[in-house]
This record gives sequence, structure tokens and C-alpha cells, in this order.
Amino acid sequence: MTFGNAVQRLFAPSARPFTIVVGTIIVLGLFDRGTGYFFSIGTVFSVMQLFATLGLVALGLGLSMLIREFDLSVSGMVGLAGCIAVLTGASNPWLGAALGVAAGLLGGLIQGLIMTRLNLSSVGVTLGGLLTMQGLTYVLTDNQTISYPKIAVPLGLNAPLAGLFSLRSVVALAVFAIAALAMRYTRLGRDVIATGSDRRASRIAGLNTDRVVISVFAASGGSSALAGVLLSYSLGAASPVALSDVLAPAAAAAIVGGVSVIGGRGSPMGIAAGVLTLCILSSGLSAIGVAPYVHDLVTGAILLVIAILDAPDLAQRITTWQFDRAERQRNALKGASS
Amino acid sequence: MDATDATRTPLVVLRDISVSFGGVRAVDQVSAELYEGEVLGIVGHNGAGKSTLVKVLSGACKRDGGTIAIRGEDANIDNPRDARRYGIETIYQTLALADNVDAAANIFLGRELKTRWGTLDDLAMEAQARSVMGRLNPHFARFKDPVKSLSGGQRQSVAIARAILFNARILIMDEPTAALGPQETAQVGELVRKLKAERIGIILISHDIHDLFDLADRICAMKNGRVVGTARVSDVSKDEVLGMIILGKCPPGATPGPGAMVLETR
Repeated sequence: MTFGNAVQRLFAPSARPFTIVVGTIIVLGLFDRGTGYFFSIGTVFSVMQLFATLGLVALGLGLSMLIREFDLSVSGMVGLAGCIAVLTGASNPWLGAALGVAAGLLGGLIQGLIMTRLNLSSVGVTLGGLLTMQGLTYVLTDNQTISYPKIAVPLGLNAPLAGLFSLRSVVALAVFAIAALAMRYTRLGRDVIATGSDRRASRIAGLNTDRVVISVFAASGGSSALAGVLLSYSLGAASPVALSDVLAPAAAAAIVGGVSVIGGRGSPMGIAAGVLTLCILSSGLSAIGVAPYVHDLVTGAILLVIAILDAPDLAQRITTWQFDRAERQRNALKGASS
Repeated sequence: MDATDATRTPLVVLRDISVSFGGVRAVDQVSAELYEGEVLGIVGHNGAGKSTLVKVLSGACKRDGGTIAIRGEDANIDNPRDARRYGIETIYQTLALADNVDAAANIFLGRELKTRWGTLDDLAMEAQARSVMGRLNPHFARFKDPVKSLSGGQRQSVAIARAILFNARILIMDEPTAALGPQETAQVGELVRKLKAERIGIILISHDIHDLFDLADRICAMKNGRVVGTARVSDVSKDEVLGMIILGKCPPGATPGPGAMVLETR
């Protein structure tokens, strides 16, 4: 019973993402068997490099999921902001970064305004936004990969800090820390959870839910744009086709990270744990010699298990099933003895 | 209407309020008045338009026609925040709580207290929530749990606490005791009397005619979105009020509204 309680607590929605990330490390460690391929500074560094891009996108998408919306435009934002940064930042990288992130904020703001003014769902609007941004990226780059002339920028962004981090991953971690503090200590953070729990109730209770929705989409756009800027700068190039496949991993990371698809549940630290899980799986499986094409299978299986664990009356059904089975056994015994 | 009513300016005047939902007239040309320190009971069957009418006043529902005046001046109420600016607080039938935040946060939803640093002042909010809840439901202790995990009665207490914390001048209560036990219901009755003594105008929607006769000064009966009649509780019997609700028949003690059945013989 106490063991059951402990398991229940470890898999409670608020603790689950952290349980999963620790579990992943333990399991990969067992496969590693002390060879050191998985448990190495190199693995940590590469996990954090992956985290820098996927994390910021998952944070944006996860924030939109917290208010029961879905920002499909995040992957378009990554590409667009990356191209804007490379194109405008040739002489001054700060200017390019600022313009890239500003484009993300503005894109999110416009989408949020359209949704709230016209009472639209996010899926249609952000799907339109995604295609528009992808198209814009192709036009801006003339459908070619554009290289970034300042070689010092990628070198500086990717240089190891304390062996484990790079400037890029430190920036991503800092954004997560700011998001976590904002969710916990500011009015907007509280309003995001309330809006996600029940938008109508929050509105008639006097909350300006339109402002919450617009702020969340602006934050989501800004966060994914920052991911795109950092990625393009650290690759020293921007390509319109490079990053269209970031959406599914970002959504997976947010869900593994405990963000509920029905809104109102989740936290930036949970999302960070979800992203880490996916990055550790990706790096770790490679490190212990699993072929890359198997990775999706593992991630998919974990995601499915989590989705099933979220079934609303799962515990009740299991209890009912156990009860029925016990009864059947009793009846069978009775039948045998008579 | 007696002489004192005629000389006082009403706290709220609703004039010719209409609301349609896709061709259905949920509220049809309804006029009503509410005075300071008065309890106006609104009665009617399900679907008579009671909740929709009060939602117009609380800003949760847009009206298609009609005007609202507060203390004799035209009021612009287009959303719940506007209504709050006029000192209108509402306890909704659905309670309007956000399930994943705690009781104190629900009470302060949309007007959270902040510290000097601009961050949420959870301590101050919880302290105020505790003091208002002490008047309402002294046994309530779960200020830190998400309201999702509270019982129906506890949730209702949170919704009531939210409405009375901010010094309302006009209080709308839509079935405020639906989920409460007898003891808490009696406490809400006490609360209504106390708020009335503080000169607050209260609109009370209830299915329980006995409760209404106990608490209300006047009763307004609605049927099919229209007012059948309005009467002082001393001028009508319970059976006559039931007659207004069920048959639309306006008794002699009541002022007939547009929804009153026209009697062919007298």
C-alpha cells in the first residue's frame, strides 16, 4: 500500500515529468553498463545543445497549450526569425537578433488579435500563420541557404562553458527560469492558468481573457523566434527548409512535460523536464549505439503511455476490473467446491 | 408602488431589455427596478429568462435592445469588468470558478493584489479570503487547494465570498443556495439580511418560493422571457405567485407586465 502510494505520488501530474526524466537517465545508464558512452560530459553538452532549440519552441507551444490553444505557427516562426536574423544581422548580430525576435513577438501578437477579435480557434489561425511564415521565409531567402559572414558568432555561441553548457543553452535556460518565475509570481501567470482552466468562467468572473490570449501568443512567437535566431547564428546559416519538423517533437516534449491538452495544467519547469527527456533519449540512444531511425519509436511509445495515463477515469476502471476479476474467482471457487 | 418608491431614485432601472439567441427571444422587453436596501426576487420556470436577464446586468451577456440606468444615469455595461466598475457583483448559477487555481486566487480573479515589486501578494490575498470566508462558512479551511477538489457547497462558498469581498453596491445572486445544506442556506439568508441592512440592492433568483417570501421585498415573475407581474410580497399569496409562474395570470395585488395573460372576462 505504501509502495502504491509512493508510485502514485511519483506519477501525479505535477511530479510525473521529473519522474520520467530521472527514469530515462536510469534506464539509459543501465544500458550504458559503465562503458561511459552515455555517462559522459560530451553527452551532457550535446543534450543541452538540443535543448536550446527544442526547449524554446516547446516552451512557446506549451504556453499556448496551457490556455487550451495550440500554436501551430511555432515551427514557421523558427525558420522566419532565423532568416531575418541572418539577413539583417550581417554587420551587427545584435540588430539581427533583435529584429528576428521582434518578428516573432509581432507575429504572435497579430495572430492573437485575429483570434480574440473574431472569436476564432487557434488551430485555423496558426495553421494559416505557419504557412504564411514558411512562404515568407522562402521569398526572403529566394529559396536558398544563406550563410552568415561573421564566423565569430557561431563559434562564440557554441563554445563550451564549464564543459557542459554553451552560451546558446545558457540563454535557453535563462528564458525557462524567467518563464517559471513569471508563471509563479506574476498576475499574468496566474491568469494564464485560470484562463486555461475555464475561459468562460474566468471571463465572466471579470478577467480580461483576451489580453491573456494575446500575451501568450506573443510570448510563444517570441520564444520560438529566439530559438530560430540562436539556431541560425550557431549554424552560421539560414535555410528555409531546415526546420519544418520541430513541431511534433515540441508538442511531444510539452505533453511529456505534463502540459494538459485540455488546458490549465502544466509549468515551465515541467516543460523543461519534458524537453530534457526527449533530448536525453535522442543523444543517449545514439551514444549507446541505437540507430537514429529507432528513436521515434521509443519517443512515440513513451508519449502513448503518457496519453493513456491521462485517461480521465482510468483508476476507476482498473478498480472495477480488479473487483470483477475477484468476484469471478470467488464464483469459480464456489462452483468448484459445490 | 407606494409613495416612498416614487420619490426615491432607483439604484438600477432596466428598461425594455431584449436578448435573442438565434431567433429565440430569451428576454423580451423586460423592465424592472431595484432600490437601495431592497431584495428583488425573480421567479419563473427554467427557460423563463431569469438568468439571461441578470447576465445582461452583470455584463456576461450582450443585450440586443434596452437601456440600463444606475442611480438615474445611463450605464454602459458591455462586459463583466464594466459591471464591476458600477459596483455590481454576481454569484452565478454555474459559479464561474477556475478549477485549477485555489480558493483565494479564485476570489481575487481579475483583480489580484500585488506587492510593491509588482508580484502577486498571495499572503494578503489569503488573509482577506480567510476573513471574508469566516463570515460565511467558518469551517472552510482549504484555501490552498485547487477548487476542483472542493465539494459543491465549498465551491459555492468561494463564489459567494468573491461577490461580497469587494464592497458591492448591487449584488446579483442566481440560485445561491442550490448546492448548500440547510445550515449554510440559513447562513446565506442571514447574509442577505445583513447586506440589505447595509443598503445594498440585491437581485435574488430562486426556485424556492418559501425562501423568496422570507427574504424578498418584491417579486417579479417571468414567463417565456416576459414579465408577468411585479408585486410586493405582502400584497400577494404564494399561490398567486405560482399562478403567475405557471399560468401567466397576474393577480390583483400585482402590477401586470407585458407577459400577463389577458383575461377575457372579469
